[in-house]
Amino acid sequence: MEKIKEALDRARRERSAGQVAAPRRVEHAQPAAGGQPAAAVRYTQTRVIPTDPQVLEHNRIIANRDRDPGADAFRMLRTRVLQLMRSHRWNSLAVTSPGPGEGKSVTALNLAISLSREVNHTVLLVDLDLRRPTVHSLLGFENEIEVGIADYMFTELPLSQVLINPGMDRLVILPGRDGQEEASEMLSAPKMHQLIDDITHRYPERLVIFDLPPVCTTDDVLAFSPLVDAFLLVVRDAGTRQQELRQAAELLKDVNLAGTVLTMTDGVAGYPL
Amino acid sequence: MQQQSSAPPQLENQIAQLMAGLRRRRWPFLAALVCGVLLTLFIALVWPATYRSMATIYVEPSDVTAETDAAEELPARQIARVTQRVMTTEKLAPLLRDIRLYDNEGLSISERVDKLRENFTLEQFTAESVDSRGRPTESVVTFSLAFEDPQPAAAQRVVGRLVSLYERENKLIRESRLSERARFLGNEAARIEDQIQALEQQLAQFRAVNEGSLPGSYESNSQLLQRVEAARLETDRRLAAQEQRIIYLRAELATVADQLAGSGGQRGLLPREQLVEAESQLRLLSARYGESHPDVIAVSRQVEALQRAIESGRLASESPELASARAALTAARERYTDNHPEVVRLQQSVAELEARAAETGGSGELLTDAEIRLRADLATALAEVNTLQNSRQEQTRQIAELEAAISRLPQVELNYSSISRDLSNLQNQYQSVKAQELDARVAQQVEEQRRGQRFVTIEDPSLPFEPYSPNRGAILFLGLVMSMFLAIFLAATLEALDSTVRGRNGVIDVFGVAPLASIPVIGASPVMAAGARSQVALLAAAGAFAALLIGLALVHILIMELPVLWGALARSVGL
Repeated sequence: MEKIKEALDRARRERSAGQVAAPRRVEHAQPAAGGQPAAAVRYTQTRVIPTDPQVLEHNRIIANRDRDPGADAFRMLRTRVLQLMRSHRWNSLAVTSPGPGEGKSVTALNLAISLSREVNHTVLLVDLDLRRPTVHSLLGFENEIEVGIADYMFTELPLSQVLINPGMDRLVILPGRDGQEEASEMLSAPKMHQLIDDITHRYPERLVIFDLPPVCTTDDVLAFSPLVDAFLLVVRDAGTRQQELRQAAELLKDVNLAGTVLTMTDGVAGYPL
Repeated sequence: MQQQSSAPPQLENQIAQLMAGLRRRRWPFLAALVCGVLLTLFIALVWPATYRSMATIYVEPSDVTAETDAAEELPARQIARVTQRVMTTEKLAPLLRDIRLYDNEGLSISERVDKLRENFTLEQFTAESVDSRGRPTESVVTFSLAFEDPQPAAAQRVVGRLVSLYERENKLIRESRLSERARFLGNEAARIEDQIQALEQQLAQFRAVNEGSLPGSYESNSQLLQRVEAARLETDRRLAAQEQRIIYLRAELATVADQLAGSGGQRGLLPREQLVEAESQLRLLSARYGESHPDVIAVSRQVEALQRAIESGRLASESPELASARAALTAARERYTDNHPEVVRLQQSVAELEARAAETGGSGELLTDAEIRLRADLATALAEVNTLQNSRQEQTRQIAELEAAISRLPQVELNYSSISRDLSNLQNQYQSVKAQELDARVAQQVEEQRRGQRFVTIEDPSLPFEPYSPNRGAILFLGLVMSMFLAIFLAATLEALDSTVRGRNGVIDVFGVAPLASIPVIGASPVMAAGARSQVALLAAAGAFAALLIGLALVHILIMELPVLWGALARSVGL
């Protein structure tokens, strides 16, 4: 509770002092996202950590591959999502699932990678599964990163110190690091609101993907729902229980649901059975 | 993609769902299939072989015709009776002991007998035939005895022993039945004979008692009656003639006496003649009337008086005058005293007459020839009358008897016919029993000469070379089919129990909209295939091993203990 109070106070102070951190971060990021699309984007401020293709493959991160049925499936998903987002003028999308272990982090990361391969926008993936952040592990960064989103929330650490580029163009990751017990409170904190507002509206050509906790197990998702434009619900074929899916549908009935994605299907990619 | 799947044909959709379900459940499906196949193979190969030996026996009908062999049983019943007698512990225990069957299984004798009965099969083959009453029937012509055992030689020996047991028991049953029948019929005949004798005795007594009233004697009786009646009429007629003659003779005699007396002296009948006459008159009357009739009483008094007079002897020698004088004296004395002049006069006259009688020496009468002849005729006639009257009485008694006999006739006839009917019934019965007894004795003879119905072995028990069971092909086929069904059932059950979301349709059911995309299982890529394949192989091996273990456990529990099985396998390899 001490930390929360601290964070709230700090957030209040920052809000009254005017947005100090954001312009600075914008300055750093602007050349990458704002200017002419370039083949070689250089992150001057954002830390670049290269990924190991074998680790990615082992962790089922395959959206960056060219000839792969999984990558094809994610390209299909990317296209559908982009169509929806453009038509509704959404620029943030929260990925969640009814229960744990249904592939939502893998889907979120693969979707983010797939989106970033289109040159006319940048992508920011935010790991908001604060209790069990996994995005950095999927990228093989367990030992590479020292700070995560919680550190940004509870300290004066600038956001630029937390962001990571995984060696792919137009993709930035805001990782979580340790499991946080007060995840729900953190999500509803003013600093979080400010952060979300900042990262989603600063650049029109940036798409923000949030990796959220399961919708049925905690109230994190509901607490967060006002801050995001739309939701994508991950459903594991032959894994998600019908009852859970109905519960999730009930919980998400008041938010913009972009759609569902069926994972771990048996069929050929793109032709689900 | 949405266009492709927006309206798929229903059947195609269902088949696709089925295939998807099968694909999802391929591991349990394959595991069950492998398990079932292994177990089937194991059972089909390891199930111990059983050999079956069989003998065929022909039921040879009796050589003698069915009429003499009345005690013949239907072959099917006879076989059933023999089987009952053979399949007893008493009969089978020696067989088990000799052949050393089921010896080393630690079973009790009754369990061994039960086991033998279980492995024994009796089969009957029938044919259409016509029975003794001319009706078509099914009758057993041959039957076969079969026995199954893991050891072919033991099976053959058991059947051989059973065949001889069947033949012996059949003979024993038939012989005992026939001799019992003969004995029974003999006893029955003797009993009926006793009854007949008793009845005949009764009939003889009855005849003796009812002599003359017996049926058939009516004719002779009535003829006799007529004859006797005619004879009595004749007697009556002769009696009347004799009486006429007596009257005539008396009249003659009276005339002669009058002539003799001359002086008017009355010449009456002698007292003896009077008595004879009176007596004959009395007989006549008493034959006609009852004893209380006044005439009869009067005559009988006269007879009595005459008898008294003759007995006194006086009248015999007294003259009528004396007699009348005495009578007058007696009458006068009754009227007067002795001193009366009349009494005195009569006393004198009596004394005078007595004196004269004494002078003439008794009977002082003289009879003429004619008188003598008349008197003789009269006496003859009187005697005749007497005889006739006696014979008439006899005839009357005979008539009464005959009439009584004739009136008793119907009742006697009833009793008599009842007795004779009983007798004739018994006689018929006796004859039939006697005939049956004879048949039975003939049948017994037939049996002793081995000419009756008998069991003839037409096919000796064979030594089987090919196992009779199990039908390994059938077990394999059945096992494979059942494994398949089991696997499908398992997959279907798992699928039915699973409540997870299935494919696009599962999502559509909840949201009404198809998912934006379907992501296949990542890792099924060619790069991953090698690893996955090795994983599959490992899983399959593990599954097969588990199936083998389960199969062995099932065999151990359900079929036979593994050490025993191992021994059997070693034996079969050794052979």
